[in-house]
This record gives sequence, C-alpha cells and structure tokens, in this order.
Amino acid sequence: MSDDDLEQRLRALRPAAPPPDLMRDLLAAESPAPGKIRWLHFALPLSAAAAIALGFFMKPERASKTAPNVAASASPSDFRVFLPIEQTSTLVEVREVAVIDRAPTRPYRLVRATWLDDITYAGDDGRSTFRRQEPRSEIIPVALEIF
Amino acid sequence: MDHTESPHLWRTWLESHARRFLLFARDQTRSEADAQDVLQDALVEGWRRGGGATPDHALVFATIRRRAIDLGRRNDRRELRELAAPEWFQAPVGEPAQDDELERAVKALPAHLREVVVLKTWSELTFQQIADTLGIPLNTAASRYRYALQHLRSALKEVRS
Repeated sequence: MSDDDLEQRLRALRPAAPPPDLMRDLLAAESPAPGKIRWLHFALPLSAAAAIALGFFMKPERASKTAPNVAASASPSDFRVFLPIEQTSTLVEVREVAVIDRAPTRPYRLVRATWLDDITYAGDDGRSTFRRQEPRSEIIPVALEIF
Repeated sequence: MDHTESPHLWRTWLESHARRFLLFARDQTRSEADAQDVLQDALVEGWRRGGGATPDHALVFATIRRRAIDLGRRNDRRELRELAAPEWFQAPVGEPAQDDELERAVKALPAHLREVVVLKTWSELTFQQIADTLGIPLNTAASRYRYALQHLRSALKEVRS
C-alpha cells in the first residue's frame, strides 16, 4: 500500500462528534465580549451590600434578621472581583489654604491639590474592564521659601 | 469576530472544529473525562486570550496539549484509564462502516507518533504548526509522520497475514 493510499484511508476516518452534553457545555461556556462591563454581575452584589448596610443602619434592631436573608440571595458565583490595572492622575488645581508659622521652626504653606484620578479596572474573568474617574483632593504642607 | 455578537458564527465555528479538538484531546489524555475537561479549559482560555474572537485553531491544539501535560503532572491517573473508552471515529449516518482495522492500528501507535498523525490528518495542521504545537523541530515532526505511516502499514499487513 502506498503512502497516498494509506493517507486516503486515514482521511476517510471521521473523528467522532462530541457528545451532546459536552457540545451543550461548550456552547454555554461563552464569556462576555472584551470591554463590555457586566453591570448586572457587578451591580447585584453591590445592591445586596447596600441593602445590608441600609438595613443595618436604618433598623438596627432588625439588622440581625435582615442581613442573612439578603446575603443568602446572592450566591458566591454572582460575585466578581475587579482590580485596578492602570491609573493616571492629572493635577487640575492647586489652591492656597494657609501659612502656618510655628516658631522656631520654619513656616510652611498648606495647599489644597486636586487631581482627577482615572482608574481602569479589570475583572477576574480577564476580559471585562471598566473605568472610573474621580476627583481627589489633599491638603499638602509645603516648605515656605523665605528670602 | 466576536461570538457574543455573532452567536451563529460562534456555533458554526465550534461545530466545524469541535470533533477535531476532541480527537486530539482524547489522544493527549488518559480518560474521556480528562479529555472533555482539557477541551473545555483550552477553549475558554483561547476565547479569553483572543479577546472574545474565535481562537486560531493551531493555538487551541497547542493549549490542549499544554493543559493535558499539566493535568498529567498534577494527577497521575494512568490507573483510571477507562476500560470502555469512547470510539474516536464515527462513520456518518448512511455511510459505510468505519475502518475498524485502521482505527485499531492508529490507537496502537506509540503516542509520540500517533499525536503527529492526529494533527496532520484530522487537524490539518502543517508540519511547522505541528512542530510548534508539540514543541519539536520541524524535521522531527515530518520524520515521525513517516515512521507512523510505516508502523500503520506494518500493522495492517500483520492483520491480513
């Protein structure tokens, strides 16, 4: 038998199709498109947490009864973890607040610096991402130059 | 191509490739359960690494192999090899019966030769892609294929004699 004949015989063998249950699992194992935020997955645990917190602060006497019920409605598989993967901070404003003179030490200025933080988070599925922009202010002591 | 936006395309892609992926997964693992686990993991990894697009099929074969090796290292399940392993090949309905003689000869090939035959014949990879998938030199892939054909020819002769 020549190589060609043998290869032709080999090619005539058809690999078996996956079992239906495996095929169903493969089709169901889809994950979200990149860049799309799975808001539902993200919002549900936040909502649950907010409800727990609200119940705790508004009705302290019932908190112990309410919280477990809410928590029980969210299974561990609903929770997603997003970690910051990129952050840029843009300084948008610096404002004088005061000058502190504490003799005998050198006086210093207090300035309020405001940044705009732009943070990108990635989900634990390796694909979902979202951005959050938030202003951030800090009061910073700065040595006062005296001439 | 984003399969979440084109579920039909995704289904079509999967239906046209799944049997080849599964065949290679069966070749690389020791049980049907392992083969199915490895296949699912490899596809999910391929989707993620491809950013949601249908992955390159050569990459899927390489991932199947890597995951099968990882699985074999983690858990030596040689003794759990299923006695009644599923058929690797299947004649389409209405077509002549499968070539059982040749199927047995393929399964009896040494593993390092069989994987090359599987990738060359049913996965339709080039020798370069096979070499990349298996982490072997190109010439080794080609020579293993030739040895495999010699083995098969000898096995089929023995059956007839």
